[in-house]
Amino acid sequence: MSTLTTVPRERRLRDALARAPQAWFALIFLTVVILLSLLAPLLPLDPDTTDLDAMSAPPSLEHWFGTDQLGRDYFARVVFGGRISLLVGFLAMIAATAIGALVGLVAGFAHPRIDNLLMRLVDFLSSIPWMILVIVASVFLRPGLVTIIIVIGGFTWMTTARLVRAETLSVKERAYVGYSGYIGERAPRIVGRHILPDALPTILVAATTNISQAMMTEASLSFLGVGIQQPMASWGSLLQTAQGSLQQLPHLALIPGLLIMATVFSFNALGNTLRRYLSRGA
Amino acid sequence: MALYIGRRLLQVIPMLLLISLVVFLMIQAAPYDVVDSITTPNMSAETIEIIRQRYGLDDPVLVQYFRWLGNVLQGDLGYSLVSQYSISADLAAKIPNTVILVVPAYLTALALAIGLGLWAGANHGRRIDRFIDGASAIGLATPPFWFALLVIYLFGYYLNWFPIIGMHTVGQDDLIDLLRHFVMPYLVLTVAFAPELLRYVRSSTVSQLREDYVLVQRAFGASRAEIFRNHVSRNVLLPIVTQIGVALPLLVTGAIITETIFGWPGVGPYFLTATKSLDYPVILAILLLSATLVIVGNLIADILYVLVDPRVRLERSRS
Repeated sequence: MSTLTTVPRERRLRDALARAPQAWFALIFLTVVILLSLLAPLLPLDPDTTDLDAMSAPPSLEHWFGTDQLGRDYFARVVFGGRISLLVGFLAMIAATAIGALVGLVAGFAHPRIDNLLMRLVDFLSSIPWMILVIVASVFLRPGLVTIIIVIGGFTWMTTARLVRAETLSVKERAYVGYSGYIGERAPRIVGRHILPDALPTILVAATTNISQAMMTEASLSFLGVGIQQPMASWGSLLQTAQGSLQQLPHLALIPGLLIMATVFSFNALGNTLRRYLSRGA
Repeated sequence: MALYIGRRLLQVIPMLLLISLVVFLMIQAAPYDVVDSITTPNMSAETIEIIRQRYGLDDPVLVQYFRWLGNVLQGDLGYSLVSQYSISADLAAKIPNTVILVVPAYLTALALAIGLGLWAGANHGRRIDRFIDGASAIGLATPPFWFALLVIYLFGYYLNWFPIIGMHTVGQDDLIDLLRHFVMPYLVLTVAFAPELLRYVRSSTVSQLREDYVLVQRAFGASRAEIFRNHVSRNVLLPIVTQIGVALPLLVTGAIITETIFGWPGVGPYFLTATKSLDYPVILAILLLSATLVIVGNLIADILYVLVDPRVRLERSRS
C-alpha cells in the first residue's frame, strides 16, 4: 500500500477512470445534460409554443424528439423538464447530505447519550418505508417544487448520518484529535478543523448516492401525481403525461425514462469510481 | 438465546409505542376528522356536539390515544372518511392480492440474485462478472414505472399478448385468466427487486473469497470448485436467510407503484386513492402497519441471524 501513496493524485484519478469506462460515459453525459439545462433559457428552445402543423409528430429533423398532442416541441419540453429534475435532485441532495453530515458528526463526537438519542431518531425514521413516509409528508404539505425538495431532503438523510457517524467515531480516536482536545480547543473547532476534513470523502460519496436517489424519488412521486404539479414539468411528470398516450405515441414515454436512467446510472458510476479511488488513496 | 430474544423484544416495544403515538398525533393534527366527514352544513351546533360526544372526541387527548390504541390492538383500524368502510376489512381484502403478486416476484428475484451473484462473484473481474455487474447497475438505475410502461407497450399493445389492466376479466375468474393478468406486473416487480439483491450476493461472495480460510484451504490443496461449493457459497447464503425478515414489509408496501400502473387491486391503489382524497385514517393506518412490519421484520432478521450462525453468539457481549 505504501507504494500507492507515492503515486501523484492526478495519476491515481486517471487510473481509476481508466479502469472504469462507464465513469467516462458518466462524466461526458452529465456534462452535456447539465450544460443543456443551465443554458436552456438562452437556446432557441420554447417548451410552450405549439406547432399546429405537427401535432403528435414522430421524431424528425425539425423536432428532434417529435411533438406532443398539443404540438409542443418535445426536445424543448425534455430539456426544460431536465432542469426541474436536476434542480430537485441537487437541492434535495444538498439538504439530505447537510442534515446527514451534521447529525452524523454530532452523534459521533458528542456525549454517548446524545449519540444514542440521535441514532434512535434515525432508527425511527428508517423504520417507515420511504415511499409511505414521503407520500404522507407530501399530503400534509401543499404539493409543489419546494415541498418535494423539503420532503426528499428531510427524509432521506439517515443513511448519510449512519456513514458519517461511523467515520467520525474512528477519526475521533486518532492522536491529533485527542491532542487538540488536550490543548483546550473547543468541540466545534475540533469537529470543523480536524474531523470534517477526514470525513469529507465519505460525505462526498454519500452525496452522489443521495442525488441519484433524490432524482429517482422525485420521478416516482411526480409519476404518481403527488410530486411536481402542472404546468411545471419534470422527467417524472412527463412520463405521467405520456402514460395516457402510450399506445399512439410511445416515444413520449421512451425518452424521459431513458434520460432518468442514464442520469441516475451516471451519478452512481461516478460515486463508485470516487469510492474506489478514495479507498485506494487512503 | 431466550435472553437475547427477550432483550430485543424490550427494545422493540417502546419503538412500536412511539410510532403509534406519532401516527395518533398526526390524525389529531389533520385538518378535519371523522365528525366533519359525517356531519352536513345544515346540522345544528348541538347535534354536532352530541355526535362529537358519542365518538368520545371531547375526552382528553391521552384518553383518546389509549382508546385508539386499544382498538388498534384488537385489529380495529377505524373507518375511511370517504367511504365509511372499516379500514381493517378493506385491508383484509387488499393485502392477499398484494401478497400473491409480491411473493412470487420476490422469490424469483432472490433466486436470480443468488444464482447470478455467486456466478459473478466467483469470476470476479472477468468478462462475465463485468457483464452481470453492469446489468445490475443498469437495473438499479431503471425507474420501475418506466420499465412497466415499456413492458405494457411491448406485450400489451404491440404484441397484444396480455391484458394491461386489472386482475380478472369481468365475468371470468379462472386461473388462466388470472395468470394472463399476472405476467406483466410480476415481470416488472421481479426486475425491480433483483438488482439490489444481486449486488448484495455478488459483493459478499467477492469479500468471502478474500478471507483467510480460502488461502488456508488452497494451501491444503483443495480445488477452487471445492472451496467454493463447501465453504464460500455457504458463508454467502447463510446471511441471506435474514433477508426473509427484511422483506416482510414488502408484503404490504412492496408493489405500490407497480400495482397502481397495472390497476392491480392491492394495497397500492388503495393507498394512493386515499392519498389523493386526503383520507387520513387510511393513510395513517397503512403507515402504522408498514412501520410495524419493518420493526417486526428486523427483529425476525436478527433472531434468524443468531439461529443460523452460531458465531454471532460470541459477539453477544458487544450488542
